[in-house]
Amino acid sequence: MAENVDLKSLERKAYRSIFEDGLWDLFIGLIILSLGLSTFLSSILNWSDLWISIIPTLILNINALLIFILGKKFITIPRLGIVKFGPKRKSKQQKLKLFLFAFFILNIVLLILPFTNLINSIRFEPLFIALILGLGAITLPFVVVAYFLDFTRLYIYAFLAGLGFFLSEVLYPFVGSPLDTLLPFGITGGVIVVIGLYHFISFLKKYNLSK
Amino acid sequence: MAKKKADSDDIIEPLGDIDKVIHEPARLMIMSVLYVVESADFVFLRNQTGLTNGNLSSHLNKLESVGYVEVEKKFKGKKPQTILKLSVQGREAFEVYRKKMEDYRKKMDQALTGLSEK
Repeated sequence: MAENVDLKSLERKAYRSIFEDGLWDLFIGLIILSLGLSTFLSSILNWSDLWISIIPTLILNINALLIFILGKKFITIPRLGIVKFGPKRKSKQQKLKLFLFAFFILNIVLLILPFTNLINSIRFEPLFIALILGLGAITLPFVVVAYFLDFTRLYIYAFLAGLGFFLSEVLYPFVGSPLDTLLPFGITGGVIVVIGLYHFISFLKKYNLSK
Repeated sequence: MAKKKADSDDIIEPLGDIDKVIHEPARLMIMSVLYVVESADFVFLRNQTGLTNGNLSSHLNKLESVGYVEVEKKFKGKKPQTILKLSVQGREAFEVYRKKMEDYRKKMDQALTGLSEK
C-alpha cells in the first residue's frame, strides 16, 4: 500500500544517499595509503629527518582532502542536490564533534606521555602495543564515527585499517622496512580506494547531470 | 441487512475525509520525503522521488498553492536554487493523513478477519 510509507527507512535511504558518491571511501583510502607510501618514499629517498619524512604524508593527505572537498562541491552537490536533515541527525553530528574533540585531546596526551617519566618503567611487547594502537587509535574511533555517521562501509574500513597497523608490526621481522608498512597500508588503502572508485563511477552513472 | 450497511459505512465513510491533495501518489512521495528532512532542494527531491522536472514542478505548485510546501528561490553564485520544506500546516496535514489511513487499514483488517471467520 503506497500510503503505508515506512518513514524511518525513507529517511535512512535519503540520508545514506550522501555516501553514494564514494568520496568518503576515497578520502579514507588515500589517507591510509599515504601512511604506507610516505614510509616507502622516505626510505627510498633516504630521508632520515622525521620532519622531512612527514612531507609526503602531508602532501598526500592534502590531496585527499582536496579531492573530497572539491568533489563534493563540483560533482556531488550538482548531481545529488542539497538536503538538511532533522534534529535527530543534527544531534548525532554534535555528539560526533564532541567525540572527535575528546579523541584529539586524548591523542595529544598520548603523544606527550612518552616524554614524561610516567610510563618509562613499564615495558610492553611491541606486538601488544601495535594491537592496542591498531584497535584503540584506529579501529575504535573509526567505528564510533561510522556509528554517528550511519556509514556502514566505515565499519569494514575500521577493521581493515586497525589490522594494517597490527600487521605492520607482525611483518617487520620478515620483510623489514619499508615493506612492513607499505604492504599492509598499501593493500588496505588500495582496496578502499578501489571500492571508492567503484562507488564514484556508479554514482556518476546513476546521477546524470543531463537530467 | 441494515446492520451490515451500517458496518460497511463505518469502514468506507472515513475515506471521504481523506486529504485528496496528499493522496495522489506523486504528491504523497514528495510529502513523505519532505516530512523526514528539514529541507531539500529541487534536485535532491527529484532524485529521491524519481519524478521528472515537469512533473515534480507541477505537483510542487499544487502543494504550495494549498500551503503545504514552502518554496524559497535564491541564487548561489550565478546558479538558481529552489529550497523546499513542509510548512507547519503541511506537516500537520501529513500526520492527520497518515493517522486516518492507519485507522482505515486497521478497520479493513478487522472487517476482513470477521469475514474469514464467518
